[in-house]
Amino acid sequence: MTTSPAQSTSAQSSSAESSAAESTALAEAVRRMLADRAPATLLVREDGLPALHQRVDDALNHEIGLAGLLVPDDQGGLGGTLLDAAAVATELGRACAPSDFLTSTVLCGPLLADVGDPRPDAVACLVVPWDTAPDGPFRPTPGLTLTDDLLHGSVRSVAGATRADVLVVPVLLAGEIAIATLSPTTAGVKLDDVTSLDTTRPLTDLTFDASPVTIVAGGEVASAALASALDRACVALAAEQVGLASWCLATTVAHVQQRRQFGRVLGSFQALKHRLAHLWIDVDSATVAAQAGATGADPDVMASVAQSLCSEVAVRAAEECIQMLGGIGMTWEHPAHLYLKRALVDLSALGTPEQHRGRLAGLVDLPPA
Amino acid sequence: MTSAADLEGLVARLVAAHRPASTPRPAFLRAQYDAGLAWVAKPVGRGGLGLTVADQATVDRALHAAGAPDNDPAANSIGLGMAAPTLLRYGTTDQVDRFLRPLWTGEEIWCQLFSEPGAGSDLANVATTAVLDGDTWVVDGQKVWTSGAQNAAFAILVARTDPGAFKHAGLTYFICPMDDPGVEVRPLRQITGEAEFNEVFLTGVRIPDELRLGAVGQGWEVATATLNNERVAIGGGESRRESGMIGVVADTWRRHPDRRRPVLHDRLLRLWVDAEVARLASDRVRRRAADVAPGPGDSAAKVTFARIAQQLTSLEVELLGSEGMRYDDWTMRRPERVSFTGRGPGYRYLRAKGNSIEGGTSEVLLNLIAERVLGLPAEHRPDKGAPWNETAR
Ligand SMILES: Cc1cc2nc3c(=O)[nH]c(=O)nc-3n(C[C@H](O)[C@H](O)[C@H](O)COP(=O)(O)OP(=O)(O)OC[C@H]3O[C@@H](n4cnc5c(N)ncnc54)[C@H](O)[C@@H]3O)c2cc1C
Repeated sequence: MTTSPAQSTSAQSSSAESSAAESTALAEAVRRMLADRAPATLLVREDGLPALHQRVDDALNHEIGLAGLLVPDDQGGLGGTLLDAAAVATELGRACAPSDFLTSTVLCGPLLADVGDPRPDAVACLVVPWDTAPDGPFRPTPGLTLTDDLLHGSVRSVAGATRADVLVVPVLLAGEIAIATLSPTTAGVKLDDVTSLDTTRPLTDLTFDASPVTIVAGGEVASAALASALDRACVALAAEQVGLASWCLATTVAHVQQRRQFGRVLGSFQALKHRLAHLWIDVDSATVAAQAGATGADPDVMASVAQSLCSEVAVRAAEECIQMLGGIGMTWEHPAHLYLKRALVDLSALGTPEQHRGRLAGLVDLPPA
Repeated sequence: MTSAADLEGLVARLVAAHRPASTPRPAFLRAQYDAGLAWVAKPVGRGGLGLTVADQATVDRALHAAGAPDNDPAANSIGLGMAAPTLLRYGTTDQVDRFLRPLWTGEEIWCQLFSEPGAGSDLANVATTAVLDGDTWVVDGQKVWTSGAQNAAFAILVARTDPGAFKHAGLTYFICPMDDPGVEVRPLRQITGEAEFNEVFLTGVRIPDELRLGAVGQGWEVATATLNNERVAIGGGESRRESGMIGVVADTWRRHPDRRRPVLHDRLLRLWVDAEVARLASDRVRRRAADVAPGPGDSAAKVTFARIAQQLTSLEVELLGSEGMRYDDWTMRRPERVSFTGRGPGYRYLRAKGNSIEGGTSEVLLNLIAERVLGLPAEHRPDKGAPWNETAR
């Protein structure tokens, strides 16, 4: 372990290069951990996924020490940067690893800190459908109601709930957005595991039947915290997609360099060379976009730039991988299918590319028809 | 490390000593070069200060604010983008001393005598010969697609000096004086109606050996360095958001609310995202240290640039409907400078077609990326292992 997040806190004041170097060191530590704890051979054994999830997050949070990464240090966190988080997310994507890093550490950790209820060590889950997009004022899930601090209603397809110990629920309170928290063990809370298309990030349906909640914030504070949480998550998801796409590209290149047909290696056919060169260009662009988003400049524009681009690149990379692997890519025992499923679901996660482009239209003054 | 304030100080000193209002343009530009403020990323003594390309923006802003003239880079893009870096890397001290300053100031325009009828993508196939006669090379052959040859004082030239050597080994790189009586330049009219490029016939052109750039037989290596720089020059991109083609087409969109359609809207936003990311990617190149030579990875920027320009310009013509059916002017002209974004939408669309051909076609660059970056096997090359004059062409 060469870099601790605590060190990257102190790097905020130093030059961009040295903080980039620390993100790189962090990425290497995470990559090594994942190669050890979550190799592809374990990933494809579906019955072991919950245990794998636990192992990965234990190692991330406690061994590498990333719990509270983005919570400011004066609120008990590590005061890390979004660049650090993006570096970690890229490795998680490369390994297609199950983890609550994105939904808890990146999305909820600083969100709770922003509303004055920091819980750096908790596994927190924002109870919204996984396809919720950041666009304009936040709209709570229809049918969720709050009466006398009792929550009613249900939310489908929530990511990051299976192991959560804090549920963070955006609700309407007197016509304004508010943020409620509760424990999943509270009376009237029901979690139903969904059979998810992406088994590496399982979804959950949540039902609340007169569940008592604590309102932690409302009004401007709540909506601003939600908006920046979603933008931050878009960037981290984009970074994850860069990792996912890079794995797909590397796996495909390695395959076509070794597999022979018609007396020559597949990689010598120009039809495949050009597709792979295009894919390399796309992955390189995705890397630039995710990195630019992670610097935190121009956050709403760059979150949507990164999310719209990286989502599509990840799907294309996974699809090209399956195609160029031939029959092997269709098997359950090769991990490529897990990458494709994750890429496909994450195409819509936090908003579809088209939704992000629609949002950009407003942000950069290119009005619709 | 030079700060922005240091650079502004240097500019202030330059404009104090050579008042832009009263100094003739070439004299001012020579002084700017001598002060190291021409291209700060280049070495000290060569018009630069050994900084990064990004630092040039600070200098240019300060110069602009002081009312200084510029060196009209569009009129000498081949000189600045290709000949200069090649001279700096392979030129002798005498050659650099002689050529670099007037090149930068634009007093001497350069062109590129590489392509031939039989040697386009396959540049190493050039058949123009150079034969040594005492200490002078005598050059005979035909070049084609030579942009700006009519304005050029000098050319970078690749010629075959040893037809019996292997294809890539028999080439040598020269600086060719365009005023030699053996150089004949004929305009070639192109798709846009004008003639940016020319055919150039070389008949007994005499080039003194001092104008050889690099060793005899080293021409392929030198030419490759030029081509890598050419790709950066073409695809190197923009520093401000919405500069370049995206700015033009976004403007067209904003000015024509009546013509907007949902599908075109999504296409435009997709291209806006692509252009923004391409811009950020080229920032990476700009911040790169001056001594890092462009490589195969930079080809990506050029492929992307060409694709975006072509998709944007076709979207613009489509968006404009009947207005897009008109063309500004088919008159045959020989332009002194080329702007991809200039003139009307029809011109932009047609000119952008060249972006995936000039400076290495997109297909050839994809081969390069596949082979040099991804490590995939090279194309089958029946011409590579035999003397050039014994291979089928
Ligand atoms: C506007 C413009 C300005 C130019 N200016 C100059 C200049 O100033 N000086 C100069 O020297 N040259 C100049 N060129 C020439 C340019 O470099 C060549 O046109 C280019 O290298 C392609 O060569 P070609 O035209 O012979 O096409 P070809 O090489 O014949 O290519 C034809 C088609 O075949 C494809 N192809 C070729 N080889 C392969 C392969 N191995 N794999 C897959 N596909 C392949 C190409 O991609 C292309 O689509 C200019 C060209 C243009 C369009």
